[in-house]
Amino acid sequence: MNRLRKILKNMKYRHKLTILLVVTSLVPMTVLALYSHSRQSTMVRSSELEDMQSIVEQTKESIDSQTAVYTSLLNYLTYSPDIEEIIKEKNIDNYTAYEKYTEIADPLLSVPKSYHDAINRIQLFADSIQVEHEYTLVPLDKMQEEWWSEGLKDDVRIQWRVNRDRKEVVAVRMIYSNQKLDAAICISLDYDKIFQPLTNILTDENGGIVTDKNDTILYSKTKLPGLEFDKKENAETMLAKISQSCVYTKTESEENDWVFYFYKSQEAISGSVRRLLLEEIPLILACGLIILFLGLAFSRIFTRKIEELTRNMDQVNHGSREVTVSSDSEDEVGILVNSFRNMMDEINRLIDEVYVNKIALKEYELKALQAQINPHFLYNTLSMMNWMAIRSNQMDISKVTLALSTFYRTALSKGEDVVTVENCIQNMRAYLEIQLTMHDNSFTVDWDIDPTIKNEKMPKLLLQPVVENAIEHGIDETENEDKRIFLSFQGKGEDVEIMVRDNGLGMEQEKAEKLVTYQAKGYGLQNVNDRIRLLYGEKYGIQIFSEPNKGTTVVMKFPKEGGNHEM
Amino acid sequence: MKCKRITIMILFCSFVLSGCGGFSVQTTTEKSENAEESGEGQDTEKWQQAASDTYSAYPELVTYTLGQMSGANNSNLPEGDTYEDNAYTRYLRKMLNIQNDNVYMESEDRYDEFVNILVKDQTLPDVLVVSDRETLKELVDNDLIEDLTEVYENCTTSKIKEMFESYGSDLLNAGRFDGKLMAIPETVTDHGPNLMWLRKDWMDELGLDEPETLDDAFDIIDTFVENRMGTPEGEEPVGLVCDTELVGSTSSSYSVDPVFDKFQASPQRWVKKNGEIIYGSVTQETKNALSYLHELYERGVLDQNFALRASNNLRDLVVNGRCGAFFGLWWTPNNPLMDVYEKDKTADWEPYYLQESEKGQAYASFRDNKYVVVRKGYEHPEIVMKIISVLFDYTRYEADDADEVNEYFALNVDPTARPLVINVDYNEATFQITRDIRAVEEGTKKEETLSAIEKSYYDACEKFLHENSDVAEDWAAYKSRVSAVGLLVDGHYQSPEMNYLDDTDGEIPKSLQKLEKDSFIQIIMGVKPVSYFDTFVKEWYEQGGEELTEQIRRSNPGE
Repeated sequence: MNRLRKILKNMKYRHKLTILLVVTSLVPMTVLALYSHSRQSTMVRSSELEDMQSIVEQTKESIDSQTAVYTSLLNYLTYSPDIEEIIKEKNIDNYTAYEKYTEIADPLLSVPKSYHDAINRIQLFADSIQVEHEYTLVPLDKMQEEWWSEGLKDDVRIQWRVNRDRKEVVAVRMIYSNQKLDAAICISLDYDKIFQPLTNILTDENGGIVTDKNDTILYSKTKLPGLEFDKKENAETMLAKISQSCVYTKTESEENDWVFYFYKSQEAISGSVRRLLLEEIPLILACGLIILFLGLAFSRIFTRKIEELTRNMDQVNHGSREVTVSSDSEDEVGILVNSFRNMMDEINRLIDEVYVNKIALKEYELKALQAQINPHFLYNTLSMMNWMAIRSNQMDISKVTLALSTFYRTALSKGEDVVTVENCIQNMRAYLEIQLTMHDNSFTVDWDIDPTIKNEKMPKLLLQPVVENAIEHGIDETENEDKRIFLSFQGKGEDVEIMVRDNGLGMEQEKAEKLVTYQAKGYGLQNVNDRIRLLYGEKYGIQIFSEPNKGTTVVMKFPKEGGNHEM
Repeated sequence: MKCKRITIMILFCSFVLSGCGGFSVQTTTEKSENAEESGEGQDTEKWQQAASDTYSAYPELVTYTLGQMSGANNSNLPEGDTYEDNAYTRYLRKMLNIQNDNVYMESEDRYDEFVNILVKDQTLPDVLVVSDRETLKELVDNDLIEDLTEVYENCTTSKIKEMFESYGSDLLNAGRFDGKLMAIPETVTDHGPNLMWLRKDWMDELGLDEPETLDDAFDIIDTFVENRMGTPEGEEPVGLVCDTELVGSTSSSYSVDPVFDKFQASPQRWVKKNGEIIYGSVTQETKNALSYLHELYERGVLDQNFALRASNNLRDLVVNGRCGAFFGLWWTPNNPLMDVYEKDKTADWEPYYLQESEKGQAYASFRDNKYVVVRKGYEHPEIVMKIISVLFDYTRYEADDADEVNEYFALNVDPTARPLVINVDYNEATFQITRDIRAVEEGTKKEETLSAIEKSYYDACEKFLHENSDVAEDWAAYKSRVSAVGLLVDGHYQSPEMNYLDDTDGEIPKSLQKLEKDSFIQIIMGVKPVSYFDTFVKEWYEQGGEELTEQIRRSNPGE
């Protein structure tokens, strides 16, 4: 739960917005869809039931209309004087009987057969008949042999009997005279044809039952599993069984005591509801897709600026000071973006100001240092010392004095901050001459000068601390006999590379690297490095390579004139 | 602007449509041309051969529409077989590459009426069986059917022609109109005379000797009645059952024809007497026979209630063991005695051939003959002769792969299952079959020489005689083919020379038929004295019989 909340909390604002939009639209839509679906399915169910009812009514009517025909036929035959004559006249001679049978009864009882397909036969059972004629005229006592005679009621009304095994339906009407059964007329009908209208409406998903008033099942047909007719069952248990899985409607015949049931499996009905659902699903899906699309689109539009702003802020966080985001709208986001913009502009301005001031201060400090020395006074003194030395034939003193004079002249260089490489070389020659004198020429100096770079410009007094380090911390400290310093001035493409190498004491490479970055006492290399970088940028500066007892090499790099530096 | 655009559209559409139409027409003509070209060499030859050679198959399946007469109980066809897919149609398809398409089906009793409607509507199927001569005449008069003279000559096997000739030239002439053979008549093989069928077990029970004359037989029946054989308490004994029609046809039993035969009477037929055509029912011979029948009735030999019973009641009496005697043709074991055999094995029905058969002068009629006709303009009229030749010659005498077809005889499948509901066989075929079966049984003939039908019956008889078969069909085959027909063969029965009469215009009207029937029954039952017969003859002539006789004499001047 907490995790979920956390996920939700840390989720991108855009996604939150999308979820919000989709959820708020989906909820009412779902409610609406569910409501309409439930209403529709109720309607479908009830119309299904109505359909079933009307189907069973129609079926009943068409069966009824058939049975009505047979009822009226039976009534007609009962009251026909010809039949009455046959019934009433007993003890007639055989020839008269032959005439009556063949001329009256035969046409009367066999003609309806050719008009009504369903009639199997019409039989007259009469007391007066002695000999069976065809199957139509039968002695009354033979009636007991018929399957339908059992349980006939003493009733003058038409009685309907159904035998499922023999596939026969019979309508019997009994005729009495003086309270005594005199005759019976029976129309035997084709079971399948009588129930044809019901059979016609049956499909795989429904079934039909016909029962009589005693709940005896007269007809039952279905293809639904488990609902097949069992002969022992009566209608009640059958219906109980049916209502478990089906919906049924019923109607009663107006012609006889038959009750018609028509049932349909729940599955079939829910099948039509399912079909409804299938029709709805694409619509719901389409709506869902539209909502999702709109939700994504809107949230994207709303959060675009904020996301841009966030990204920009992140960049600033990682060092960039460039502002990429902008907005021309005046809503809250617009104000936020513009405020950020203004803020960043202000910060950039302040940073530039501080930086430039710092450089100016350094320059100022150097100038002040140079200004402390009055060169003319120094030159004059040194010139006088030279003359005095020459006069007293002290050539060494003269030499040192001249070197010192050269050193200062080149070092001060009329107060210019930038001098030529040539100037620097002269300066270094003078300096090293003095140092050689001081060290009794205990080391040798080698030069390698690329003449093409003599006129290139460089900051003054740049090399002196380096060479001084080479002597003081390098060769002074070693016991080596052959002490050497090697100076190289080379043009390397767009850059000038000056190298100072000694074969003195040396040091660990790690320590050597620290000399450039830390203000190691008595080295001043960091100062040199800083100056170069301030003047030419980060890619320039000095590098130190050293190894104990082998010596140290300092490489200094700066661009040739015309290189892009700010001075 | 809009109008213009629509016009252009219409023009464009019609152009496209006509373009397409033109194209497709072209391709179809091309196709049919191709078919003709490729077929011309071989197919045309094959078609021609099929049209001229009896047993040649058509190169492609020929489906002919057919009006079929259906039988009761699906013609006893085995389960799964139909009128369009049974042993006959399968064999015809295999051999000739033809298939019937039954566009009309009607049961036997409604068939005539139904064909009549087809003729009136002039909606004939390609092949049709007509079972009413008047309808045939109507078809000929309206020029609705094809002349079959040529196809009969070309596409009929010599054996089939021989069969037709065995009835004399009159039979085929019945299908000839103005010298053209317009219809192929069916052959009604001679079934021989009615036999007396008696319950042998009852005779044994009562110690009675076998009858030698009809009078002996009636005495036996008298004894049956006296001893109330098969009669339950409270019922009357039945005696000799008899149909009210008195005269039978080839497909009915329970007539009293042998009694008429005994007196050389031929009721309900035209006969030649003293050189003149006369109606057989009004002759002195018939009067004598009726007088004799009346005597039998009085004696109680003839069923006292015969007038009240219909043929189904008679059948029930026989099947239920209530009666011990009736007249029936040789096939009686198939119907109804097979049912008796299945119900009660002790009931031993035995046939007896007792009467002298001397019909001589009676004329036969084509009235109820069936005829095969082909619709005018049908492109394969020879198909009927090919079917007849295959069904009634090839499968019966030559084929060794037609077992399925011939098994139908043993299965008692009705002829209505055949695509053409007729039979073509020798007049004496029934007797020949029995002679051949007997010859094989006696060892004078080899079993292999039997035709397919003979073989089928021979096998059934063998099963009944030597394998104690309980199957009712085997019993019936033996009883009918060997016992019953054997009597006729032994009695040297000769099929009478048939004289046919064109009596199309001489149909007995219903009122005269009724007058005759009622009068005869009255005389037999004694309601009217025998002398009433003369009154009947007088009335018969007065009520139109006179004219009718004149008419028949006029239309058959040569007789």
